[in-house]
Amino acid sequence: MYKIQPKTLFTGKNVKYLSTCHSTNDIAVEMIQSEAVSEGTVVITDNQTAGRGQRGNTWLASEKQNLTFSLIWKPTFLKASQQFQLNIAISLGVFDFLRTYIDEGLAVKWSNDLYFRNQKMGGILIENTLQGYTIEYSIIGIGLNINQVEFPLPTATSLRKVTGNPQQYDLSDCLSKLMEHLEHNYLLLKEGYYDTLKARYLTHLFRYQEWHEYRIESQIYTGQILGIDEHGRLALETSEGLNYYGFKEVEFII
Amino acid sequence: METKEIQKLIDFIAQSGLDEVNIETSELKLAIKRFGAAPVVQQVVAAAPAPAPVAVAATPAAAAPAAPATPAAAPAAASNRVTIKSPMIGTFYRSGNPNNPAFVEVGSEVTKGKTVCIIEAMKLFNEIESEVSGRIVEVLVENATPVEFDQPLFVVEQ
Repeated sequence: MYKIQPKTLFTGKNVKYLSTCHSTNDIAVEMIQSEAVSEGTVVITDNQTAGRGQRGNTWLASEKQNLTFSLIWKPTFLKASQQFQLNIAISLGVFDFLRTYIDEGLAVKWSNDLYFRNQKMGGILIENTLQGYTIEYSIIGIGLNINQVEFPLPTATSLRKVTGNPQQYDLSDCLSKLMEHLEHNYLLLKEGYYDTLKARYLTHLFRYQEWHEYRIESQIYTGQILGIDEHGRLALETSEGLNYYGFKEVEFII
Repeated sequence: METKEIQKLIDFIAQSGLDEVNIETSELKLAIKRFGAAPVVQQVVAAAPAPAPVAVAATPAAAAPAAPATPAAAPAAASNRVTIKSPMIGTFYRSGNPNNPAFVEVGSEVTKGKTVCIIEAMKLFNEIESEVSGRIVEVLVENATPVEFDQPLFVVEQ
């Protein structure tokens, strides 16, 4: 169970808890299709059996160790074409939450993974429903490794693994704080602080303005990230010049 | 006074050429006023111990709320055909998951609000809903290919 009282206006005020479910995003989709859902509603589970990552990929989380939930917002003030701004605000919300525990080494890997050095701590999966050119609902699935310390992959880590905290973190407490950081950034977005949010996103962007290797059309290039365009595409400078890449067009070599 | 009787009365007044009629009894007070072509009925229940008559609030001249603009559904060549366009740049997917069947095929009936495709943009997934009811007559984009802003995706016949 999650009993939280976040200091927010609406985010996390209504929490639907399921001991087990296939995917909290799918439950959230069913909810908005069948009932009036208040903005800021959260669907959370202790055991997600078919969590989804990037199209077709799965998100694996040990039972009762981590946070796996979906948050429902109604960013009707955003045009569909501005949705990367929403992604920026959400990424910063999760980043700011982690930042209260970890001083350095945290980054947002484009477009919305949370990294500690070269290891992944969390991921975000955003699903919007659109009516014409505006966003009606946004379902924000967040998977964040909190207490799990054993991972089958060397590329994964958790908050507790990084901090070495002897005790387990209280998941309700973490969720409550996370709601506050998410809403803070969401309200900045709502008030139109696009440039401020984007500047912060770039400041904390994984490998920003550093030279690293990238795979583009199965070729390896050395390049540096110079920014993000209005659509959220990655501006990457290589020996070929400056190009803008969509999500599947470039792969980080880590 | 029953609704039927009030209706009759309105019809009578409409044909009569009278602009205003007031009727008052121990049980009710009825005021009928003509604004332009349509008469307006006001029935005020009198504070009487008699059984309360059914209140009628007829506002025949009330304007229907204006239909919201539907930029994604621009009319195509034929007047009853509507094109669903992409509201952003991204990748077009015809199903929610590679293992699932397509949301719609040519010939599928769609209702307003039905998901017709997904456009993925930088790992954000957008369910595009039909803004009209009708039948899909054309699918204009191949699955898993890039789309531009405003690119036509489907043609729906209403």
